[in-house]
Amino acid sequence: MSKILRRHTTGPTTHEGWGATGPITKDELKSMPDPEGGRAQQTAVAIPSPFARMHLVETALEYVRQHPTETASIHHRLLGQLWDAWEVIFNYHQLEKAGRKLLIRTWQRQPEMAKLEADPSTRPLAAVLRLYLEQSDERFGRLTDVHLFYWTRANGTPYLLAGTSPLTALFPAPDLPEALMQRTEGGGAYFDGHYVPLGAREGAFQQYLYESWVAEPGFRTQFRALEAVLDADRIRQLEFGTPPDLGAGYERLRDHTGNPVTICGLPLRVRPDESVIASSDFFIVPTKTAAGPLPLVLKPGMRAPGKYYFNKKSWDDATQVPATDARLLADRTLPGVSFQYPYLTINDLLEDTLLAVPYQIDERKFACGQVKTTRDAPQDFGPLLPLKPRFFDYFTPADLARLLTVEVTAHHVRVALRIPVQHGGFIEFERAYHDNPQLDGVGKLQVTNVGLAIFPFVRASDAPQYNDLYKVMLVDANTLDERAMHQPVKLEFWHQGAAIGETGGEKSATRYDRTPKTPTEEGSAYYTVRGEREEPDGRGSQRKVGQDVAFELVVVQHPGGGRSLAVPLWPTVTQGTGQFRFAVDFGTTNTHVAWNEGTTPEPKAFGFGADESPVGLLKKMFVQRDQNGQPLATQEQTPYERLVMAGIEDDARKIRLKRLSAYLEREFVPPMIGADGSPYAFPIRTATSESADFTTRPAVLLGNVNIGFGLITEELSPSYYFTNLKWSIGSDRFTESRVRAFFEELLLLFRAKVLLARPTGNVAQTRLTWFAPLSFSVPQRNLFQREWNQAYQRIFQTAQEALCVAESTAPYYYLTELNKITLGETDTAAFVDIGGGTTDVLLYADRAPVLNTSFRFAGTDLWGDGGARVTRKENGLVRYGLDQLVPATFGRSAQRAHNRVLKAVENPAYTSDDVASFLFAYDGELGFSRLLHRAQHLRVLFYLHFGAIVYHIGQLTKLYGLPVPRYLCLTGRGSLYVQLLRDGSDTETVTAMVRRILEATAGPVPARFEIVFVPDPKQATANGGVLANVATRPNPQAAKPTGVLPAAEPTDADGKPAPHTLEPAQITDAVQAAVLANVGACLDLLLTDPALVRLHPDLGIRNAPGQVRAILEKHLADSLTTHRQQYARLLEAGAPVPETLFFLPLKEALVGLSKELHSATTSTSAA
Amino acid sequence: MARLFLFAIGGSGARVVRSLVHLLAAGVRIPNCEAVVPVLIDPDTQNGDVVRTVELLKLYERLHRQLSDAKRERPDGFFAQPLLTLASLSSADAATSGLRDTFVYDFGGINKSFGEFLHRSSLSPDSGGLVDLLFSKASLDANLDLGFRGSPNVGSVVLNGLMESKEMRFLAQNLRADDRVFFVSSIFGGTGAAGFPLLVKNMRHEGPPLANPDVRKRMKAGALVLLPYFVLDQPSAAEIAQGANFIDSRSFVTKTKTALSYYAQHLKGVDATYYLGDEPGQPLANNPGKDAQRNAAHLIELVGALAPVHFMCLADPDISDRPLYHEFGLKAGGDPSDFDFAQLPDDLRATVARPLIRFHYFARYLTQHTPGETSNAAYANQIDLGARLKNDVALRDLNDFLTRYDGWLKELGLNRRHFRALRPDRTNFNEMVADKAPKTGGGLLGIGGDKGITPDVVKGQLNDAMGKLHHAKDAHPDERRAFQLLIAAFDAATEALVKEKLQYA
Repeated sequence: MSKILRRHTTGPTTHEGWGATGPITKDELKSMPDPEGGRAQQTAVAIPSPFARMHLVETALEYVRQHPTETASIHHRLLGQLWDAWEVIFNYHQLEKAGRKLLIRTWQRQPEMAKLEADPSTRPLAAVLRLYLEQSDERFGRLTDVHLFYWTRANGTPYLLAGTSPLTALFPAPDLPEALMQRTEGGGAYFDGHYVPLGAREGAFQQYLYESWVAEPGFRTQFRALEAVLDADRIRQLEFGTPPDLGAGYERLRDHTGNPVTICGLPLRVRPDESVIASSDFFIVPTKTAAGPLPLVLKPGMRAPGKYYFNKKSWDDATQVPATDARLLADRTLPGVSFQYPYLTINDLLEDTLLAVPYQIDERKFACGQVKTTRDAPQDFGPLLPLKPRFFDYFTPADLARLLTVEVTAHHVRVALRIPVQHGGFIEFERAYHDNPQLDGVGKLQVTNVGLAIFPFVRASDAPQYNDLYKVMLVDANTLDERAMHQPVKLEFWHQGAAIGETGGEKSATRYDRTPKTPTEEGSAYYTVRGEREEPDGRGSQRKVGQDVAFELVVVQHPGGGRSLAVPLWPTVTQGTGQFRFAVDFGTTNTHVAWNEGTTPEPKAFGFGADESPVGLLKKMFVQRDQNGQPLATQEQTPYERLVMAGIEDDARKIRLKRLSAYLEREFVPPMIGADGSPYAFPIRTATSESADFTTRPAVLLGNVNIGFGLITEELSPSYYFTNLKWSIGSDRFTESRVRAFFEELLLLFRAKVLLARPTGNVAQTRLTWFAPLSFSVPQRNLFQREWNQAYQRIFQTAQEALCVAESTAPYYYLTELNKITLGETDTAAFVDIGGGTTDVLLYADRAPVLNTSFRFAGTDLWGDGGARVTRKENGLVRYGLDQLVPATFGRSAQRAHNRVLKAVENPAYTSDDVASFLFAYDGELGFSRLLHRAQHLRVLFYLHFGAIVYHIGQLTKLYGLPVPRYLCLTGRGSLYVQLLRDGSDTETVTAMVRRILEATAGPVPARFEIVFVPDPKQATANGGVLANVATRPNPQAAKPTGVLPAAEPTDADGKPAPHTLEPAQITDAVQAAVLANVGACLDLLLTDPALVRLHPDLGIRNAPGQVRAILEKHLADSLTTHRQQYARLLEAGAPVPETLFFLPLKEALVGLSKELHSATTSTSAA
Repeated sequence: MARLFLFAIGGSGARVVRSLVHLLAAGVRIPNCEAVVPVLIDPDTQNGDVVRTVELLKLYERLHRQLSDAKRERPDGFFAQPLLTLASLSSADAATSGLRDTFVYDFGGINKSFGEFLHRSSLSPDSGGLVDLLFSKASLDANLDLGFRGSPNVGSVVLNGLMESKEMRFLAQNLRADDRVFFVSSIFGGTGAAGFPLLVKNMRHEGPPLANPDVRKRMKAGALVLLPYFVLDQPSAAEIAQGANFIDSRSFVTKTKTALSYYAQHLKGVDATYYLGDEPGQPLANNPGKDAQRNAAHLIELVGALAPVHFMCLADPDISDRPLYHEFGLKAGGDPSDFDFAQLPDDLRATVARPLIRFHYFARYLTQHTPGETSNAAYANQIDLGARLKNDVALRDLNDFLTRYDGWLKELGLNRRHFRALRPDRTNFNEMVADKAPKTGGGLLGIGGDKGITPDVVKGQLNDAMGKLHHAKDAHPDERRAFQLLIAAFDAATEALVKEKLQYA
């Protein structure tokens, strides 16, 4: 034995020195160990030929034949690439459908070689190609073309995939990147470097190759190396069967010029274009018309024996359906067959997290599917829907009741979603959700402490332009978890299959964060979902037209992941024909809305109960149940309480949502008003509720500003309510925004009412009336008209204008139209409407209104703190009421009422009349009226206030030469104090009082003089507005006597009194003296006239003689000056004072009187 | 007599030639060979292996020329084998061809990428596509001044340009019927694996552009195919990430197999193939080219250098029928890690080991003892060696050559299958040859007896030899003559030492 210096282990071993052996052939090479070879970094292109890469494949095939069990060698990798390339080419049509078309070019030997040889710079290349084409392997001699297969990257740039080879049919290109496309079968992605043998690849591809081998003898003779790795048995089997018809089963592939692709004369064929799927047992059967081809519905591990996958292909239970397919639906290829067709799998439809809210969901307002609850399941628990929005591409929310089952147990929620497929079948997707999922495929159950409400919760099916604006409240109480604490829950709104973007476009869903979360308190955010498009209005400019945004889905996103759906079941209505009329008495203190619709002329106070609520609250109304779980026949609490009031808090379960009601009332819209136990009813306080940052950001209705319904129930202090809207408008832009928001919210409520009422009204037919006090200046009146018009025309999509009615005439319309009072032919009457800020008077004679007037002397002057901006609440009447309350005697409701009053007292933004309105609002609980009956030392205030008004009416009557009225009709919320005055005695005493004053100022009073106390006096104005008709009711002459009474005002050419205008600067000392003299005469009459003085005890008035007059005297002049100056400040230059000067001295004097009378009594009793 | 055109391709080819030059210097003769014409082919003209070998060839050629007499051929002895550059075959033709008088093929310094070489960017879309399909981007981007870095397919294209070259045309024109050609290349690298089959193809190619197709077709061709016998350091992951140039020696065997498969099917026209390979030892430094590629000499290269010697032994009829294949066997049991001359068969011990031993004695004595004896030794005095050693060009060349010999010998000992036949670290002549020591002893009480080969013994032999060589006409030999005398003296002296003292056979 010698040591032979060689690497292989075979051959002779005995010679010394150079000895004869044989050539090293494949047998010797086989014995050459190559342990490191598979780990080489670079592909070894060790063949000294430019066609080395073609040879390399042949070498690889030989190696793989010899080492069939290996997988990692570079030879295996190369063969894997060859099969990958061939399989990709085989799926040519399917890839084209998937947007990854193959480009096939052809290198033609003859012309290309000629070109290369013609150019000196490329001649060396030509020479070496020619040398090897002619001198190496005879198979190259037959080569006429090399086809080049290009594929495209995601960005569209082509890259080489493979070429044809006379040695092995195809050879892969160098530097192949991973294709990011899953192999149909065999696992992994094409060109991922893993060797997938032919036998593990898609059956159809294998079948094609073997059929080619048998049917096309050229494959066998030319590509022997390839045959070596094919399954010989399978070839034999095919040979014994019917000869395959390649032409029938496959298509010939053509290059980019349309010429057939051949390899050494053998046609290259591909799978036919199968993507036209004519039939399948798995076609989805949607209830909506879906765009594009109907997807198949498949799921992992699906067993469907006997079903057709598509066309005539049977479903194979072994087909691997992924749970998730990241590709777009249109880009998907069907599992197991790799040609492009859309299909849906479980994660397309089911989320892996289920969000639940800590209360039951109102299944009448939000789709819940079929919910099955076990006995031990938590009661205060509402699962949202763990559905992907894609579900609704095919189905409607109404389908959920049929297709979705949600089973709630103590430990988990199991969701089953049945998707109808062809021929009556269903594919059922099922997923269980646990708190702490441990297994794949099990979803996570996450409680999210949110409250959700939609306003207005209605959709007009026949008038989508009215589905253009929705406000969504989100109360986020996820405060216990650290992560959730610092991130908000977010909502996304889907409409017509797509999420509505934040801004821009015709649809938007804008979020407004209002109240920030704190570790102990919920936060709130509000979404405005708006659809709006600009259209030419036909007059050369653009107008905004509402676009339907009645979203089908609300996606709730919990911080840190987890999404589920709230699917509103919109009350969907078709408009009726009824014409609704709304009249808004936007008063200084209170606002009243009356409405009617054609068939029921009697105006009603605006409101709505639970059944026609425009607020869609996710939370369900709590129902008390007996021991058997049956609802109690009589529920202890009102519907409002059961819906709104219940707080939810359970730290152990990380549940906290205790003040849903507070946000609903303070920042949103109460779900019931004037019904079903709601604490709110019209008239409401004229107030807005605002966010803390209201003045620093643009105003957003129901974002940072809204009607302050909650003011009277507010338990927090300070909070952001703003009153005094009516008279501040025009003075700053914030108030303008407040008033606008107030109007808009009202109008949205009206629109919802029209749609939700039974029968439904017609939105465009709706009419709106508003009231202007006579004391409004022209700019003020125009400003209001503009605001009303803009909001009305936009929200009702109408060109109509809001009807403006003089405030003072409205009660008259109401009372006469509905025969509340009947006036004879010769009857005269004075309609007196005492509001919070203004008193309106209409004088009637000769069967028609003849004069109206208005002055700012009303409720505020009795209950308020005067013109000076005093925020200490020192009004004697109010203080008296507060002092007299004895909390110890209060029951539960009185206590709550008292608390709210005290909060109002604490609120620095409130004045005494705000507190007074609280006291009256809770009169039933606290008995403020009863206390005032006993306040003998203060009742003189009612007397003086009312007396002064009557005194002025008497003087006016005389001035204008009108007959003394037979009736005095009292309306308006402010007139209620006259009732207090009356109730102290009887109607006759008050009648006697008025009669005496009129006699003293206007002359003889008709014998049958009467004071008419109208039922619901506070609603007369609004009711009158509902009935008013601008066409038939011209406003009567307006009187704004600014001159000095009783002296006659200037007369016009006809000798009639001409309106005497007086600018603030024109109010001279002489004028002031005359005004004060007249006031003095009035007070003399009221306080010293024997006939009147005799009435005082019956009116419950008792004061020390001279005391009242003395106190008043101190304030009269100052009051006149103060208010003159205020006018000088507020009015534009040249604008006259819009009311009589008569009441100006009394305004501050009465307030001063109330303070002093009260404090005197207090100190007396203290002494 | 025939001439042998020896094409050494790539770094491995150059290293085999390096060993061959040392063998020839020692007096190994290539039988039936009028002259060897080595042509080193490597586009990487800075390649350390190539540069070193070319310099060695130049030294040899000058020394041989100094020793040659136009009148008579030296049959044997140091530097006896004639060795020619291509240009010197026909100086007249060479001049007109503009051929440089060197042993290395002139690529003209390719300093561009392979893609630029192909003019990839100006190709038609489809030819460009074909190029992209056949060559990786890395290959197209690689600069050719580093050679082909293990990509024979790239090499096959670039080296094909060789055939258009003036060197090849000149060579073909000057071929004679009995000339032979021998190719030396490795199969696992880039340049050799590509160049070898390409040269064979072109040599056998019947058509233009080369002259003498009939001669080329019939000309006997041999080839040494070097299989992997070393490995290289694998660069660290960080170096790879930084894009460090390197040759991945883990692919050597795979590439060898691939290439051999290809040869088995596609390479025809080689009459005698010599395969040589060995299990690798410690990895060598990984330098893909240029000056840094300068691998230590290896026993395999020394053995490989014996392939063309063997090839020239074969008579034409022996290689006319069918291709012959050879492998080299060591006379050894098992797989010894050390090599000594005992592992050579007897004929090679005589024709190879023996000259090497003599040359080693020569080299050692001339460099270590002669400089100290210039004034007191007859052989030196007779040719005035003291002065010449410093001034004569030939002696300086010789000294240079011997220094390289010493380096070569030391390198041979570094690699696994260590060359231990001669011991470069020993100064005692008796210990310099591993497989045989001179007979010593036999004296009485340490007096007398045989001390083997001592410097005095060598000096005596030299003096004797010089005495015999020295003729009256050499009283004042010129530089050339003095050099010839000195070499001849050493030839004779070492012959005597090996024969009489070492008794090597």
